[in-house]
Amino acid sequence: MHTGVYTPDKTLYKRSASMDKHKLNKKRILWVVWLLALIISAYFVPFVLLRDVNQVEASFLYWTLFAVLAIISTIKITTYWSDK
Amino acid sequence: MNPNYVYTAVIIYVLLGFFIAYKSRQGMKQGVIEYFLDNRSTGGIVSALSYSATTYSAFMMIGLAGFTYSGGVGALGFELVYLAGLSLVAFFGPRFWLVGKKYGYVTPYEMLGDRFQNKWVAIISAGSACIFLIPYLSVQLMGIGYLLNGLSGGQIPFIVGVLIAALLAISWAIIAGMRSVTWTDSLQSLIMIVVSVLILFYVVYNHLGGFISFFNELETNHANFLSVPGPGFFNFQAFLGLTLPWFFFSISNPQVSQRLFIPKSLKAMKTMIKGFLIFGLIYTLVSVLWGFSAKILLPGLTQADLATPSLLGSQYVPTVLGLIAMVGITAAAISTVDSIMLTLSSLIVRDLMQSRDEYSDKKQLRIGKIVIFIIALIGIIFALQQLDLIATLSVASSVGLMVVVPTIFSAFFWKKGTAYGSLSSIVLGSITALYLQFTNLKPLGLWPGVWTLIISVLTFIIVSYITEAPKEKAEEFLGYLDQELSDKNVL
Repeated sequence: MHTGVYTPDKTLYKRSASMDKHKLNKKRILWVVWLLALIISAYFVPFVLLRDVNQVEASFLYWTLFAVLAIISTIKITTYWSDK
Repeated sequence: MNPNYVYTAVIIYVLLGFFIAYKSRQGMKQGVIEYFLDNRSTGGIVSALSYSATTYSAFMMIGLAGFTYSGGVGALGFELVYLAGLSLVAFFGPRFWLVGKKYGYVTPYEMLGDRFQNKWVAIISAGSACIFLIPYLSVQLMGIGYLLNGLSGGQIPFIVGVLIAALLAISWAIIAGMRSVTWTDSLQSLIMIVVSVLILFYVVYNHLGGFISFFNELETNHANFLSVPGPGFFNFQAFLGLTLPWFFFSISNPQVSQRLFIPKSLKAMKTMIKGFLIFGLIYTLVSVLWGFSAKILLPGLTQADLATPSLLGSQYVPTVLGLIAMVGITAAAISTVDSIMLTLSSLIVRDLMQSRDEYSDKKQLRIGKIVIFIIALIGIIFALQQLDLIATLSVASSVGLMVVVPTIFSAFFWKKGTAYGSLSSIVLGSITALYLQFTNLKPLGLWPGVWTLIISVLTFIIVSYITEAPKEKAEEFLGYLDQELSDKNVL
């Protein structure tokens, strides 16, 4: 069908001024690089640095911190969005 | 446990669910978008709760707890890498949402078919999703059958559990489509989280002396369970093989990626993501700690999957809490099953039958409802057969559904991607996934998920370079997105 009429959402959420495309792209790259590094660390740290460290403060804590950082980062990315 | 208690607990839960499902129907209009996508008007909190209930199935409190019981802390890493995969939604979510509204897409595969200007992309993707998701759904039904059977001491036959689960899922999917699914999901997600937290705290504080003593006990008596590879299961290859397909779950599984079409605004999508991430972190930690509790209290089990049912049925958990937990796990399974049924129904009506061009909304809805019954029937038959084939396909589902990931990436980020690139990557990827899963082969020590991703990505790129891309559509589609994303500050 694909005849859905596009009606822009009028709900204004947060009137953050829109960034220019260059700035947006720079932020996009930085966040992707950061997230990739974070995700690689979820493999590298427990399997290499904390291998055979049998304590709760080791892999258990690291993976929990990793998840908290990933959650904060994801939420931070969504705070840029504006519903205009 | 007295089966009458089990029945009573189930009846209360069922009545509450039906009450909410019927309430959700009020003021609902008839139409395909209304039925399958709640008219793209779901609020943030309901979206978040429903997304959580749909994503997390009975696997968490049974399978993940079992993984922890047998493999240790690697289970936590596995599930949290999946959760971190939700960062993909911060990029893909608004893109799905924007094009969904503009072009009127109902399913993610309809979007791919249109973007690559080839209906076969939608047909093949939808077909492959059916092959992998119906067995997955069936395994959830089996889970409830086993759970009710086990907790009632064999008094409730396996088939009764399967039928109860299937009937609830059908009803809650059919009463008001996506709206009854999201509303009942919201109730079920609250049951899941409250029950699991409650029961964990009860066990830890009553039988393990609080969290400090619980962790000390783990370090003293099960120290190797606190590192990887630990007891052995979570070696690096296994961890990579398990986490890779799950990392892409949020965009590869249609029952969750379709949810990116339903929030009423970007603000609602923000709330959905935030709510789900917090829910996911809590539910993951609880499920893993539950598995560790079982390890300490019942160390001698021969089958790890029995860790949760055994602990619930043991002297450590009072009857009433065991019943509540059973309802929590049943809710987790049913909220996943009804969402899968509804999504598969939309895939069959819109993509496999391509009926959107021929049939009215009314006719599509009628077919969609019949399809839900047929899917449920196949699911029940598979569940009752208890075939190894079904279990293998279910395990392969996360791997098999991943084959569409290169196509989704290209739809939004690579203009040169082609329909033939997409079709060949989906077909070759699926063959790789099925072949490796069924033969249990791990070439070079790498698991099926890793090979499937490598093969499907390479095939997509190579074939796209030698075939022609739908330039005009790509320009129009991505040009529209570029402007909207920039206006809305979406990364």
